[in-house]
Amino acid sequence: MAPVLSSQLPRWKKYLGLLLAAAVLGALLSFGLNSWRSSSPGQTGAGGATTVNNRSSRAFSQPAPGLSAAEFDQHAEGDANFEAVFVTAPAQVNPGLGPLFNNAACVGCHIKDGRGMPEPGQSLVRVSLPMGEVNPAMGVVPVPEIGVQIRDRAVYGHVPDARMAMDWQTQVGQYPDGRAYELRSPRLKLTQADPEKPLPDDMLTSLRVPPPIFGSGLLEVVPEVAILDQADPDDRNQDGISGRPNRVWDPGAQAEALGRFGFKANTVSLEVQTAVAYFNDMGVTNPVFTGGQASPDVDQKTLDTTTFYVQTLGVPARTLRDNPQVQRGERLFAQVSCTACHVATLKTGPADIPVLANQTIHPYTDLLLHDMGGGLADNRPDFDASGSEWRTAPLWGLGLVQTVLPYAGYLHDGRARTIEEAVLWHDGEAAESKAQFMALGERDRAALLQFLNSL
Amino acid sequence: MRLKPIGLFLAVGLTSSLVACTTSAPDVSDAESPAVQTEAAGGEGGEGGTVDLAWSGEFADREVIAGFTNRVVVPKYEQFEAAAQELATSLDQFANAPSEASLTAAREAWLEARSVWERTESFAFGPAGSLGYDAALDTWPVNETDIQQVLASDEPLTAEQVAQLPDSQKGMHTIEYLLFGLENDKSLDQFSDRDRAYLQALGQDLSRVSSALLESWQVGINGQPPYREVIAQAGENNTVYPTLPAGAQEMVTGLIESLNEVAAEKIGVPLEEQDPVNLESRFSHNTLADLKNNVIGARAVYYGQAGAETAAADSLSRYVAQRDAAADEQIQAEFEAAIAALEAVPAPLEESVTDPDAAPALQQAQDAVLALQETLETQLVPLI
Ligand code: HEC
Ligand code: HEC
Repeated sequence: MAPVLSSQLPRWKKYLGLLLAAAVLGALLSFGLNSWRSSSPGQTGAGGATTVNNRSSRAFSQPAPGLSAAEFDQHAEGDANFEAVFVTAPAQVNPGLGPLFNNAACVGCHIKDGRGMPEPGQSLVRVSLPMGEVNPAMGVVPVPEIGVQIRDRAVYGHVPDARMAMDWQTQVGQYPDGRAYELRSPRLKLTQADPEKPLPDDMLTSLRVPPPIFGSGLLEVVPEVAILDQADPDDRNQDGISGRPNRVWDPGAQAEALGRFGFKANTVSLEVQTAVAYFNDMGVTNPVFTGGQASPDVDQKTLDTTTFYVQTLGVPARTLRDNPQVQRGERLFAQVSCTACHVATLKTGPADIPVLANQTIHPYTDLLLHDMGGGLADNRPDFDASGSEWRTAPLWGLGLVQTVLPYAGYLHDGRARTIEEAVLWHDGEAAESKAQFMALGERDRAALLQFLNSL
Repeated sequence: MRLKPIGLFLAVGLTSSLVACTTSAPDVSDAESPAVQTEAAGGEGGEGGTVDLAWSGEFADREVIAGFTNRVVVPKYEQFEAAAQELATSLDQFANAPSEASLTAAREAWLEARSVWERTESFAFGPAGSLGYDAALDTWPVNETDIQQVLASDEPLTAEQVAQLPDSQKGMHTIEYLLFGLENDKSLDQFSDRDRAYLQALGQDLSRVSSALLESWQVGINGQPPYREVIAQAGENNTVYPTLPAGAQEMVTGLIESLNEVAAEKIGVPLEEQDPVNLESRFSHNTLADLKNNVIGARAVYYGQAGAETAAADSLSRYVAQRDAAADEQIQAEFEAAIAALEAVPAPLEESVTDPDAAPALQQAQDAVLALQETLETQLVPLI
């Protein structure tokens, strides 16, 4: 075996000197701390104690502050899993890809832990049939021979579910003050690749871009009652905004449960999301979805550490909080009722990971489903979510989306090239709010967008 | 990824500073629970955990960022384009006229391209991820099973065809696999015609992607502005880097993370697992050079110019020196120490990683890179 390395020595020995130096630095720092605190966006607490002060392209990849040494080890191991590129078995490193898949690595889609591009290979298409027997675990009627997702890649010698291509169509519009704008939306083209897998004419499709994953550990521990409290399925308060929870399948408990993750809140937990991603997106079998294999491609420990990694990423602090335009935009955001869905503040409850517990956070979501109108509709129901309902997108880190991934798009299918375009697509329950936004003067609209870019 | 020693350092330092100024700190309304307090309360296991770094947000020297893009990033991508072109040419020659000489030339060209690429690792941001260049150039590991299938088939091996292959069947490591063999031991007579045709096509594809990467920074792709301007104009009505410190934070975060990757992942994982299979350039036995080039590339960012061993006038180094000359000296010395420590590791790392006699040198190299990372986190970060 290897000789003893210092990483295996008791830590206190190695760091004793550092500790003393640190105490001295601390004393020195305290003098300058007042100015440091007030100017530092690190103290804005978007993610409570998990907030990180970083506005670079790596802003979504920082471990949450406050992890213990043991937790950090697990996080680091999960980081390596998240980056692992899988290949065709047999192989010495990362065997188990496919045979069908969308991408070979988590990070291949969630680039730098953020979004992926609206392109084949990163975005994926969920499918189902409009009629037939709903599979209770899938929440939809699966397509025969295919299932609920088009895997448009295959390892050598296999044929993908279908071939996928997309192009863009544009439409124009105008603000009440006359300023014109152009929006684009994707047109998806699926073609049969496998003679055994015909694509039914009435197949429902939903194109989805990979969303950022940081902060989801906090959203996982927002107590269910707090989410249900905000629901108003029948719009009793008559504000035109309902807000409904999705009820989905929990494969662990083998029971129905509140859905939280995915664009239609169709997934119960991060462990399930991770297990599904391995299985469906990468073709990597695991203890939750074994694919009938006695020894799956990844074991429970891998699944756990990858999940832990997702749960323990930090949330970037806001920038430019002292900027008057940004502050004005923040007020306007509430004034035109964006906050009816994009709820600024939630509180987490108890959590296994101490740093996630009892935090006041600012995700700007109610985690509920809203009817967003025909323009955004995929017309594909997903468990209780209708074909025009979507989960309110969290807006934390919004201003960093294109810092982390230049040219990335917004909304579920990445159609919006700018934050402004994303707002202009709002309709349905958000129609009134959007109309108010559009009716603002040019400078107020700019301020509101500047606020969004500070998130 | 944040490392433990520094976590401990900041935890203790910042906690004591917070305690010291509870009476005078202004009440920032939104400051629920600064990470450092959690750390202090962490008790058991809190030792060596993670904390947020102490960025001050005070950076205000635009020229440093301009120097970085104009004298480091763009020249490095220019150099990479030239090296990839040279590699493509030598793979052409090897494919058309295989000989010991043309094989050696092709391998040298690969090593040169690799060397340049590894010196770009500390600024791996911008369009390379979005446009798929990074994955097309540098995916690891390679899909050996499927590569063998492609070779065994009679599918055409043109540059166009190869461009359509999955990323784990093209790029630098696939070239490496085909050109050097599993253990840097492939002899001339082991190259099939299809090996050479595949290599030739891969070289052309690599060269094409390297040009596109340069173009995305220099001129812009798909109607986008050149990326050099995006970062150089940080803080000027810029949604990507809305403040000047954000632009500098991009530079420094890249530095810290690339050094951390060298120490914790590229050395740490194979060392801990005692298995060379995780070494990134194991086919060519070139991993040690990769690591050294990563640190040299990071130093170029700090010095504000590529290929020089001293700092440019508009550089992070001078910026630090003006504020804290001792810190700059320490950082410079630790860059040299890290490079020297890597040089002292017996090559190839593919063998020395499991050699008990080499372990102290390797450990020293890891420690030296970590020490540098910590110094950047404690001395440079608070100035940015
Ligand atoms: C092919 C691209 C792709 C791959 C590979 C992929 N994902 Fe995803 N991921 C997506 C898409 C698309 C969604 C949105 C799904 C939906 O709405 O149904 C998503 C959603 C998620 C979410 C939920 C985020 C939220 O806020 O709702 C998490 C967490 C996640 N993925 C983690 C992972 C992990 C972990 C892996 C690797 C094991 C992985 N993903 C691999 C594309 C991908
Ligand atoms: C009725 C609820 C509702 C209201 C009101 C609402 N939104 Fe949204 N918002 C959503 C939902 C749901 C989505 C996700 C839609 C999708 O992905 O197709 C979303 C998405 C967004 C996005 C894109 C986020 C991303 O990650 O891509 C932005 C930006 C946004 N909203 C801003 C606003 C602003 C600004 C307002 C006020 C003018 C507003 N929203 C009002 C529900 C709402």
